[in-house]
Amino acid sequence: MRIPATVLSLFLLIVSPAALAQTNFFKTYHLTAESSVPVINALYQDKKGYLLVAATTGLYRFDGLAFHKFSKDENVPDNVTAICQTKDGKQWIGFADGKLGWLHQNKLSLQNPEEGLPTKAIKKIIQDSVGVVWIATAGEGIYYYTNNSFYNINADDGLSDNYVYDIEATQQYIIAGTDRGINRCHLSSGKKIISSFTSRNGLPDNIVSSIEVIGKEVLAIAMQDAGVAATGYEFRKFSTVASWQFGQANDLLASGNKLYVASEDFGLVSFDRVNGTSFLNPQIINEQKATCLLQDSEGNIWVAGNDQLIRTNGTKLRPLIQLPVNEASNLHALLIDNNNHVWYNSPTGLKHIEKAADGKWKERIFSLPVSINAHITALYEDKFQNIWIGTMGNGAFVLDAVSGRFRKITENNLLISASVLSITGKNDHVWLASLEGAVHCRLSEKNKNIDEQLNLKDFTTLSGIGTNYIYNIFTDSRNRTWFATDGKGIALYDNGKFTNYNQKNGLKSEVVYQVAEDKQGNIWFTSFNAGAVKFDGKHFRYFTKADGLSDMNLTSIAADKNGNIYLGHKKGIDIINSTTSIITYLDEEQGLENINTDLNTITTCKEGDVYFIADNVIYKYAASQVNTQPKVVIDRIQLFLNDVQVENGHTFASSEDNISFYYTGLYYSQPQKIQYQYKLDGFGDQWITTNDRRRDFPKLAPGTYTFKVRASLNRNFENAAESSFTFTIAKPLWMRWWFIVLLVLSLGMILYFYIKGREKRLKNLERLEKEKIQSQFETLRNQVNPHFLFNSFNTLISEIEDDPKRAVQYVEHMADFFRSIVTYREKDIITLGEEISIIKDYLFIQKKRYGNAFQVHISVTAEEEKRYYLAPLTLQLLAENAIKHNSVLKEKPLLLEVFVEADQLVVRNNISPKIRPEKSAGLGLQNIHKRYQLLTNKTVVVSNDDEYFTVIIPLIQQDDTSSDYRR
Amino acid sequence: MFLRSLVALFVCCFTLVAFQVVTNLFHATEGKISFRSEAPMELIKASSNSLVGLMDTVKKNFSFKVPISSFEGFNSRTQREHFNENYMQTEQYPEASFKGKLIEDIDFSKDGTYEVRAKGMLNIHGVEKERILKSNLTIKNKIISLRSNFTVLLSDHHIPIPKVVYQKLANEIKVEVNTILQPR
Repeated sequence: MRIPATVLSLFLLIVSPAALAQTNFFKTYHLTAESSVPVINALYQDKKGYLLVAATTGLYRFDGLAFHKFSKDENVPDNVTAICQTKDGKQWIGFADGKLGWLHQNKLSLQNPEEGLPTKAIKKIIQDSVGVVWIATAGEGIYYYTNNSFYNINADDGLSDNYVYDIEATQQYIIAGTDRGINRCHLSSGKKIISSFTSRNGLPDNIVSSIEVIGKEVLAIAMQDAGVAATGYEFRKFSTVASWQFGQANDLLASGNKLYVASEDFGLVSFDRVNGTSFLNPQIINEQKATCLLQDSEGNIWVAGNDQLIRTNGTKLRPLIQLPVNEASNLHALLIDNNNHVWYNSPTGLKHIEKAADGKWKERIFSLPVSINAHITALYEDKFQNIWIGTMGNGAFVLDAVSGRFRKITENNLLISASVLSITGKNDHVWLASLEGAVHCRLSEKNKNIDEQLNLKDFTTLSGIGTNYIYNIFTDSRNRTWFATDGKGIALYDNGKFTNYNQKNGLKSEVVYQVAEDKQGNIWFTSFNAGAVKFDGKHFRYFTKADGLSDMNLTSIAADKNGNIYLGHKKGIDIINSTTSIITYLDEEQGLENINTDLNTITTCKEGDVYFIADNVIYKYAASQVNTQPKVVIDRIQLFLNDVQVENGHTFASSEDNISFYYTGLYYSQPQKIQYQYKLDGFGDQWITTNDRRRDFPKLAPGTYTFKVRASLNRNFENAAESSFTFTIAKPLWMRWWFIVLLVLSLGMILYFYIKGREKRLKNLERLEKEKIQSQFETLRNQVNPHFLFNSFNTLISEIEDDPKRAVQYVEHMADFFRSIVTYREKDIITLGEEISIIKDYLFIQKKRYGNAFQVHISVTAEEEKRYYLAPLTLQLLAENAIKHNSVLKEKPLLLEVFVEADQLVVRNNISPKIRPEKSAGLGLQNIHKRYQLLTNKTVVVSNDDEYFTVIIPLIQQDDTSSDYRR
Repeated sequence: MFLRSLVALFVCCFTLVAFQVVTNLFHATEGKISFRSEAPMELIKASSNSLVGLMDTVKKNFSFKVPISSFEGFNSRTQREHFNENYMQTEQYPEASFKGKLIEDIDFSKDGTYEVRAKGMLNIHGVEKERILKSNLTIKNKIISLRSNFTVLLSDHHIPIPKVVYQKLANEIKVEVNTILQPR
């Protein structure tokens, strides 16, 4: 059945594009120096993520909050003009006076190549794809550095001018902009091949101040006088910007389909690149003088001029359409259709805005009845590109955007006066959520014509949803349908069956506003005062303020194709990366305020870009361009609070136990929000959360540690970027393994030698003992020798007969003598006096026998008797020997002399050999020798000079003798 | 034979040099240069006819200079004294100069009017500043008339303005150059 449609008037308007100028956000940071007002010459982002700022007063790094000036060697100039980090990580620095330097470990130093350094300002340093470093100078042409040597390309080689502003590397060429045109250079087997293009070749202006590679075939060039032009690598055609009015163009930056120009007179200006080589629709973003540009890894575009460093949102977040205040405050429904045209409700009708081929915005208004215009709540584009319009209290309409005709949907009673809260759908299915229940429509081919009747079906309380108050209906990738209800939680409709999730299932709030799905198939929804909820089919995970959400009262939710979930609140948009759970923000730091949080005002287009409204502007956010998490860098390491230049893995001495770390989180889009967590492996295993950018570790015990730090924009550090530094504090000397080994070895050796020495001494003692026993044996054997006894007894008999009294004396002496032997035989040494008393007993016995034929002279003082020691029975043995070996006759008496001479005891007797010498084994003298060897290191000297037989016995002084020998 | 070629070479060289002298080098001897300072309280202006210069139309470089003491036409004698002693320190920095190169590729053999940019070092008060100055060249019968208007910022050349005379001396000085360059 055909339902007649109402045809309404249609307006066509052209919106002025310049209206957006004031909505372009920028944030300014001022670089200051003590000496003079700095002028920024160049910007660079290093591999760690730091923004480096080259200025007339030095080289700085900027962390999003403050500038830090790098220290330098004494001979390094102040005026820094170029920065380049090559693939090997080295940081080349160029100076205004032509010098080249390094930035290494936070310090500037000069290069000192054999070839010498340029004397004209370094304008730019780049590295090409094969690793050659190229240096542009203001007056000496181009230098290139390869194989550790510098080479020069200048006017003599065919360069059109030696003043080079900018160089860019393409796959094949080095393109240089000079005072006299463009030069295209390359090296071919060591030869410099240069082609020049000047105004004679059609170049609009000879002074080419900047070059930007846009694509494989397109270059943009900035000129001093003629503005900006697009050209190819053959430089045959130059397509300039018509009626250039922005003064000298200093630098270029291409991002997406935009070209940013740093201009001398009008600051940062952006152009749309249309049809490849046309730059149209200039927008002045900031009017301060601009000299250089940089796009950081987060997609922010930075511009610097004089002492100002300015951050802009770049192409990632762009104000699209400026709305009149009354339109913005009444905007409830935003739709981006299949052609990326923008639809929204306004008090005067439904607005449709498209960007025409010339880059200009065109606007159409579809006027609905006045009572309805203001009450549009929902918009949807079906597969036939018809627009569905939901209203508050007036049901729904379908609009044919081509003809401008529309009609009210009347074929369902529920819808006629329904308050529609959302219209969603997928393929053939369209769902309308209202305060009266849900309505499903199955489209058929004939519905391409809006006049054809729609196939509609009601889903009310009775159907199983649980309530008629439905905010939003969402069909997921598995074609299941989710119903967000007011008061009854969320209902899932799958294969004709409803499943209800409410408080019983763990839902914290039963007021659910809107549903979305991430690329992993998880269902996300917003609910009243309960933050965002992620449902993986089994569990509900809540994202709350503790996880980093800015606001708990979230209504609108949207998902992009990159897996980001967008949550709108009054102050901004929170973005949750569904894979990493990292939350980032779009808020006042991006110049956003007063976000429209109506249910249907945050939406995505088919490319996955997100559209929303803040203040009076419709914004477009290109998520694909964005690096979504802060980086973290360990800047400095200190030892006892003084900077030290140490590499990862450094070993500190055992006394170097006070280590400090300085670290910085880098996220230029939200520098204020950065928080840190650190941990020192080997010290503790807890991550500690802090806002400080420094941590001291005093008095670290010896060991190996790893300092780890990570940064986040909130308290959620799950998957946060991390930086670490491993170091060792050496053990003190006495704890090192080699020291301990050495100690054990030397102790072992001492013990070994001690035992060895002791063993030797014991052996000596043993030997001494043996000798002693032998001596005693010898003496005893001699003393009990039958001759001695026989002679002694004969003498005794004659004495008894002659004089019994003397006989008694004689026996007493004999007894004394034998007792002495018994007493002293155990001793090693005895005093000379004791020895003399033994010998006196013996001599008494012998004298009785020999009378005057045996004479003895002992001349030893009493003091000497006490002072000296000797082996017992030495003298007795010698006396016995003398008697044994000599004839003792009255006519030739035997004279035995004993005296002390130079600490030696001299015992000598005159020689009168026996006619029949007695058999002798010579054991007596040998025994004396051996005993003295063991007792002292001196030897017994025996001499025989035919007249005297002399034995010199070393005497032992009391203090020579060790207690060992005096037992 | 050898002698002949030597003579030929000599003649060649001589004519080349002569040719160069005749057509490449142009000079100005009595160029006019004037400036104006339009401060809120006072207008200061002065001019000089002692601008001298040299231009090579093949190498496309040039050099101009003017003695500072040659400026005349101040409002008063005191003003001139101030100019020479307090601001320009004429004894120390007796000349202002501009040396550099021409950017535009113009054909000096053709009569006509051309707008060219001259890029070089502008030295005033002993302080050099790299400048690109636009000028108008009119070539007629091998005589070049040069006209140029540009501004000089006192701060660029470290010319101090005492606070007291702030209202009497503008930071921005307008300069006008008018000269004729003749072949040498």
